[in-house]
Order: sequence, then C-alpha cells, then structure tokens
Amino acid sequence: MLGLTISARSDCAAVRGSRSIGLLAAVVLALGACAGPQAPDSAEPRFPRSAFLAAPLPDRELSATQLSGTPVAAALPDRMLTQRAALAQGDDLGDEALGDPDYDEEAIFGAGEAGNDGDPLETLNRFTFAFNDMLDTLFLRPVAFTYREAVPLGLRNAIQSFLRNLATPVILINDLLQGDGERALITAKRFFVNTTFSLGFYDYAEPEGLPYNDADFGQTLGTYGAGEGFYLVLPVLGPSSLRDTTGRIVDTFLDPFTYAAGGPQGRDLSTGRSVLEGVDARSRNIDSLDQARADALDDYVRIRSLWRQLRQDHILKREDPSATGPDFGSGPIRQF
Amino acid sequence: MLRHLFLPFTLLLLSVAVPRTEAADDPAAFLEEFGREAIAQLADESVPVSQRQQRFQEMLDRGFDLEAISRFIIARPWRSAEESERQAFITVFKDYLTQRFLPLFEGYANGEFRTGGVRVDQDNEDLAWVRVTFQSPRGQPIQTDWRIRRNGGEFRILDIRAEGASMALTLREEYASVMRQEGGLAGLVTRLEEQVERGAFRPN
Repeated sequence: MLGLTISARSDCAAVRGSRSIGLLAAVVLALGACAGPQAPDSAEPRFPRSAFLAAPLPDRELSATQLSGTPVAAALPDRMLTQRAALAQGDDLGDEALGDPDYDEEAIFGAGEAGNDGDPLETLNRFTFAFNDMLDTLFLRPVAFTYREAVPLGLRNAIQSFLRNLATPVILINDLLQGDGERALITAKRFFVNTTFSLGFYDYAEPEGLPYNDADFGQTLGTYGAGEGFYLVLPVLGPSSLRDTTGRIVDTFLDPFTYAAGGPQGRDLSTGRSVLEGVDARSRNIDSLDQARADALDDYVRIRSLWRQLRQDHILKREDPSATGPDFGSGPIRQF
Repeated sequence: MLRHLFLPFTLLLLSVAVPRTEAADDPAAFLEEFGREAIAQLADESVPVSQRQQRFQEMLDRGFDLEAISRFIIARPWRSAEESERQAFITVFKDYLTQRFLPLFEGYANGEFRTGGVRVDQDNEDLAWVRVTFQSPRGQPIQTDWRIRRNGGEFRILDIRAEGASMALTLREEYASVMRQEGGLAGLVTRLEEQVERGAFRPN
C-alpha cells in the first residue's frame, strides 16, 4: 500500500508514481518483462526492531552554522541540514587516491540528488508505513486484486475515465496556475469531448491527441520552486511530503465537488469516490509494487527513495515535457 | 623532416580509410551488442545454471563499472573502508545482482529491446545517456535510460533509470539505512551475504 491513493483527489502523481515504481524493478537490468508478480517469502521481519528506534544520524561533521547563509540552510530543519552536510562531505569522492581520477559523481549520477536523504520524521513515518502496510495486506490489496480479476478491463477503464473526468476542475486550475495554457486547453477540450460523448465514461479525447495530464497543487508548488519540505507518510494515503500534503488540502478546496457534495449524502459520495480512486490505483500497481519490494532490504527506504525520485521527475517533466531522462531535456538527441 | 610532415597525413588517411568499429565510439552500439550477447549467453535454459551464473558475473565485470557504482552506492564509508572490505562488498553485490536478475533472462530468448537515442553530456564527452526500450510480451513498452561512461577507450554501464528513478540512487539510500542499522559496510556485507545464502533475492 504504499503509493496509496485512497481518497486522494487528484494527487495523481502518487498514482502514477506507484504505478511506475515497479517499472524500475521490472526493468532494472533489463528483463522485468517476463517476471510475474512476486511475493517474497521473507523470513526476515520487514522492519527490524532497530528501525523503530530513533535512527542515529551520521556523524555531525559539519554543523548547521557552518552552512548558514546558504540557500539550503534557510530551507531546511537543522537536523536535516546536518545530515545533508555530512552526506555532502562524504560524497566528495573525486580524489585520485581511489584510483579513478575521472570519476565525477555529480556528473555521472546527477547533481543535487545525492544528498536527498533528509527524513526528520523517520521514526513516525516508519510507524505509519508499517500501519499502512498492514492495512494494505489485510484490505486494500485483496480488494484491489479481486477488482482486477473480477471486473472486465473495459469496465475498469470506464471507471478510471469517469474518475479522471470528475477531477478535471482541479487539473484545469493547476494547469493554469502553472501558467501552462497549452495543457489547460487540452484539459478543457478533453472535458468537453468526453463529457459530451460519454458522460466521461470513455476517453474519446486521448486518441485525438488530447492526452490526460494530472496536475495537482503539490506539483504546482514544485514548479514554483518549492522543495518537498520533508518526507511524510500519511495514514492510509501513503508517501507524501509537507509540500504535497499542503497541495492535497488546497486541491480539496479547489474542487467544486467538495462544495457540491454537501450533507451526509454528499459525504458518502465523496468517500465512495475516494475509495474507488484508491482501489483503481492500487489494482493497477499490484505487480509493479510487488516487484519493487521483492528484493528490498529496507522497504521503507526503498519506497521513500522511489517516491521522491518519481515525484521530482514528474515535476521536472511538467516544466519541460521533453525531459524524459535527467539529461534528455536539453540539447539534441541523436535518433537512429 | 619530410617524414614528420607526412605523419599527420598518414594518420588522417588511416583514420578515414580504416572504419573504426562502431562499438568503439558509439555507446548505443555498445549497449546493443552487450544486450544481444547477454540474451544469447544467459537465456538458454539448457545451459546449466552454474555456468550461466558464471557468465552473468563475467558480463557484469565486463559491462558495468562495478567499482564506480559501489563507490557511489556506499558513499562515505567507501573512503574509509579497507580494500578487502570493498572487494567483499563488490563480490556480494555481484552475487545479489546474479540472484536477482539472472532468472529474468530465462525464457527471454526472443526478448526484444532497442536503443532509441543517445545524448552525450555537453561538458563531458565521455559520459552519455542511452535510451533503451524493452518490449514486454504482455504490456506497455518500458523505457529506460542507461548511463554510460567511456573510460580508457571502453564503455561501462554506471546506472539505469526507469521513469526517472535511478537504480544506483535507490540502492544508495537503502544501503545507507542498512549500514546505520547494522554498523557500517561490514554489517551491510554480512546482511547481503545472509540474504544471498537464503536465496532471498530470487524472484518468485
């Protein structure tokens, strides 16, 4: 249950993220294609007891004060900063003593990501993660699995289209807030076409060159340059951050559905919609999530790392749609 | 004197006349060749597992810069580690990769993949990203980006990304956490060895 999106109105990056998480595992080293779902029969407890104790930080070799005045210092809590500082120092591995003078870590693996290890709420987050994992094992995964096996694909796609169509206002507002007129226009056209011809149950627009996009306010804040703040695992909803949790709340207020669905009946409707969204999302990432976790030594950290990378990638792609890899966004690509 | 004058011309002529092997300066050609060889060498289930494991490890050594990858993944403790500890990590890391990924080649004899674009870094012509697309038999094609470095005239793989997530970075963060829990690099190596021993990384 990790990328979980029950309730989440349009935090579609989480959906997308969790869907794609497994791609990494699937593909890594190439051939995920033929690997089926995996349920690692691990005798090792998923969370060693020590994980719940306050995880000790790396040695504090640089204090926050030494970094004061840098933009980083302004943005980060003290604990996170020292952690980053320690990491940054440790990352400076370009010395020739290690026998590889051309090794340039930042150039090879990408700048600015290496030190992304701040998690000031780790203890609490791990607890929530374990709780979510239990909920997932007991309820969500079985329900999502049954949904996937019992409901025909056509119907599942119709439900997904309908839910996406329902999320149009929030997406549209965020497209506009991001100053992305082109996407906003596509979103509006999609709504018009799909609502007119199928009440939203069928995506007629996609084949017409009007692809779905999934803007949300957390992402909007990201495109404004806001960092994640800190990593936060939400109960039931799964991986998020200060920025993206704020985004979720704002999106709820931006959504006309929130106001239209008033009273007890409306609340039921809202809940139903959220549950359906969660089940739909989960049913689409069963295999990929199983894959991503299959060989993890520390599930919590693996999911945290993947969620952050995918979320960041998603924000970057909003800014530059041609960015499909860390460096594919600029300069010419040679095609064969 | 005349000889010296001629030398550049001779070299120039040679470089034109003798077509350089494609893989020597094309990271995509390198990857394609490497991938084909991997499928040819590893997908044949009639070859005994132990032999395929050995081939897999040889190919890891040849195609991947395991030293640089390990250095990135382990990060800070790598600096202070003894050479023997580093080698112990690389050994168990290879065992992990073998256990985790070799089985995925089984039945992949007709596996399809293609390279679809190369981007050489602007400030470092020895570094490049190569786009590789896998056609899975039962789903959407999967796009990946491979980080390639040319070192001493040879290409080596350093990282693989899918949908923006880096394998090296993911393992780095995960192993950092394990090292905190288990007391450093030695603890991580022991943990990995135990898991390999139990076959915990084997798919299914």
